[in-house]
Amino acid sequence: MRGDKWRMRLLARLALVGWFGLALLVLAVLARHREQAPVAPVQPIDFPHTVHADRLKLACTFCHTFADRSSRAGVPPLATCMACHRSIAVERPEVRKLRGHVERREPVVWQRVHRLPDHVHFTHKRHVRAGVDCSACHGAVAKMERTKRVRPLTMGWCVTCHRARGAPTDCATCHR
Amino acid sequence: MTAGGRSVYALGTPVNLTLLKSVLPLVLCIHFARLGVMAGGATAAVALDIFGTPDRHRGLAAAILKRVAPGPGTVALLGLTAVLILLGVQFGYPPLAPSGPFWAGTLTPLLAGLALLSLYRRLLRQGRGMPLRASCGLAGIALVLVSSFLLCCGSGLLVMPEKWPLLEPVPMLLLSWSGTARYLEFTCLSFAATGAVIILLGERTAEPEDARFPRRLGGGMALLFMLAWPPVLLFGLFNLPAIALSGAVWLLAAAALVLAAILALQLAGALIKTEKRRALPILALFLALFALWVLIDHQARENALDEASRGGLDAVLTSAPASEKKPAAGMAPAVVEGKAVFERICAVCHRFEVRLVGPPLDAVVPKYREDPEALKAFIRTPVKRDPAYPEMPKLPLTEAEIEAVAAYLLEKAAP
Ligand code: HEC
Ligand code: HEC
Ligand code: HEC
Ligand code: HEC
Ligand code: HEC
Repeated sequence: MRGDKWRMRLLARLALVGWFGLALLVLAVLARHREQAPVAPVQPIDFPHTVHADRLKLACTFCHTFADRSSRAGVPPLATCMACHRSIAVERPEVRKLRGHVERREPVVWQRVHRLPDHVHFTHKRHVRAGVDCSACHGAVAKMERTKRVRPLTMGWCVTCHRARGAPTDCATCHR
Repeated sequence: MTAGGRSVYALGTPVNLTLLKSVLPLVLCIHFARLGVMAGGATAAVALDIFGTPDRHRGLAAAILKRVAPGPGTVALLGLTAVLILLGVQFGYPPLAPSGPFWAGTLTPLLAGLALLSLYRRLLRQGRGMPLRASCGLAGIALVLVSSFLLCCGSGLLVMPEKWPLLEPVPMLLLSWSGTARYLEFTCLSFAATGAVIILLGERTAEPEDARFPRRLGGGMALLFMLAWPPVLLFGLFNLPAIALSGAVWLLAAAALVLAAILALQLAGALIKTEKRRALPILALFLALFALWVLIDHQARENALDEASRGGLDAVLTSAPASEKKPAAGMAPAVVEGKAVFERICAVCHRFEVRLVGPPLDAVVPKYREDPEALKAFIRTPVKRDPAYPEMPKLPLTEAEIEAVAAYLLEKAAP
């Protein structure tokens, strides 16, 4: 009798520990899953928008040349960088890396910060031409030491802005 | 959407921010812990009142209410903490300054609910007006919970800056899964903590016989809601926007789960081994858990609201002024064309007022006023002039573009 009771209590405690252990496990999996698309991925070259877009006041479209004429904004080719970095800041380690790539003719593989699923049709051209500022969707990029995704890119986000601004909200606008 | 050139989405002054960072979480903790125990206690009391037998259970119900339900002091405290929370947001996060309807929507149900609960307490003690009494209690609980739900949803908005500019056209954005999860977490925690208060009541009674029922009731209630809490916490983290997450958030959440596990073991102990007194340590653990919960929230908010993520909110509902795209009236066509060339090519290295890669144009262009041909010649084939600057490269410009950009420079540069 006594042993039975004792065993029951032990079992109850084990079940409790198991339940919270399971929760911790799920937490760990969730953490891994959510960090898989980090908001600010590490880039092969530590490119600071702070220096180029804030201090030098370069226009966004100087580097992202296709934003107003194509669906993609485009990340600049190394030639754009070299217009300046042939002679500027050449001693900085990150700029050395950049020049190393150019000398070896090896493209820099920038990590994507924003990525919509394939089934979504998005175009920069329409938004930029309608006068939507880059910052409405990308935040204050000029203040970012490392490029960071600050908007959720969910359907709700697209659609609420469309509704508030009177842009089309039927499914075929974004899904085709 | 700017006021005096400053973005309306700028955060408060540093003084306000420091205030907020230290005081707001504390006030939130006090408010939610106290309010939560009250809602939970009132629920337990009403349930006992309705389903229990008058002689056996009404005494306990009255004792619970006496401990948790509002006297004038508590009403004042809870009203004050609610006002402080709203004021903290108003000054610390001016862009989210609660609107009139939000103030009314949170404070009115809170105060009405508290009033109904104290009325219920009086009626219960006198043992009068049964069907009316219970509905009075239930309505009080519902109102208090509505107020908490609104506060939780409002605080959920703080990690979603992208919604701020759209709240006025689309008020439904106030509701979110993240805010709902926060509310459910609050409910679980507070009903569990109420269980601990009921255990304490049992331990305070003189007769060991009388202590058994409250201990079972309180322990069972606390354990049940403690077990329900982890899934709700995980649901909340699942729904937190990516910008609000960080290593610190995950670590705090893990710590909260460990603390909750310890609590659950203590509660199980209280249910099994009835002779030892455990209520006070359990209540202390609950307070720590509330504090951790508020800290997770605080950390998420700090992560989500940096300068970069708040940037651009002014631009969501506005379009760039058309004047920027249309050439200024009165500019000669060549100058307009030259401006475009300048912005596309020259502006990489030159500004008019400041040194960039090349010298400030206001300093070097005026000397060509007498001889525009020399300016064009230089642009066509640059030569090294000033050793303080790198050499200007030869650019792939057409003769027409050179003509245009020279005209623009001479027009725009300082005299
Ligand atoms: C000097 C060139 C340069 C300028 C000027 C510049 N960018 Fe970039 N931008 C880059 C490069 C290189 C990358 C890729 C590396 C990275 O993501 O940090 C990039 C990345 C980005 C990305 C992330 C792309 C992705 O992977 O999803 C965004 C968004 C962006 N820029 C926006 C802007 C905006 C807005 C401005 C104007 C305020 C701007 N950029 C100005 C060079 C530039
Ligand atoms: C308009 C000229 C210009 C262009 C185009 C340009 N940069 Fe720069 N960049 C600068 C200047 C000027 C600095 C250094 C500022 C300073 O003194 O800190 C700099 C600094 C840097 C640094 C070093 C930052 C640090 O503080 O260590 C990196 C890395 C860099 N640039 C990468 C790039 C890349 C990659 C591109 C192409 C996408 C690019 N730059 C295009 C002007 C330019
Ligand atoms: C209406 C919102 C919106 C505006 C305005 C906007 N972007 Fe984007 N941007 C996005 C979205 C969404 C993506 C992800 C696109 C994808 O994955 O196909 C993106 C991706 C990018 C990328 C990386 C992928 C690419 O398209 O090459 C860059 C770079 C970028 N944007 C720059 C800019 C710049 C520069 C501007 C301003 C001229 C701008 N964006 C304006 C929403 C916007
Ligand atoms: C900041 C507000 C804003 C956000 C956020 C936004 N849009 Fe838009 N979008 C607009 C506006 C304004 C227009 C209308 C442009 C016009 O009038 O040509 C538009 C137009 C479009 C169009 C073209 C519509 C047509 O007539 O064919 C597409 C496609 C589109 N958006 C997709 C998206 C997607 C996908 C997202 C989310 C990733 C998104 N937008 C987010 C403001 C926004
Ligand atoms: C303004 C753009 C826009 C419009 C309009 C729009 N969607 Fe979407 N939709 C998106 C974006 C962006 C995503 C991707 C969201 C994500 O990855 O989280 C998406 C995702 C989805 C998904 C989820 C797919 C998945 O893998 O989870 C479904 C289903 C969907 N949309 C259906 C619809 C339907 C039905 C409508 C019409 C009522 C509609 N959408 C209208 C932008 C839009």
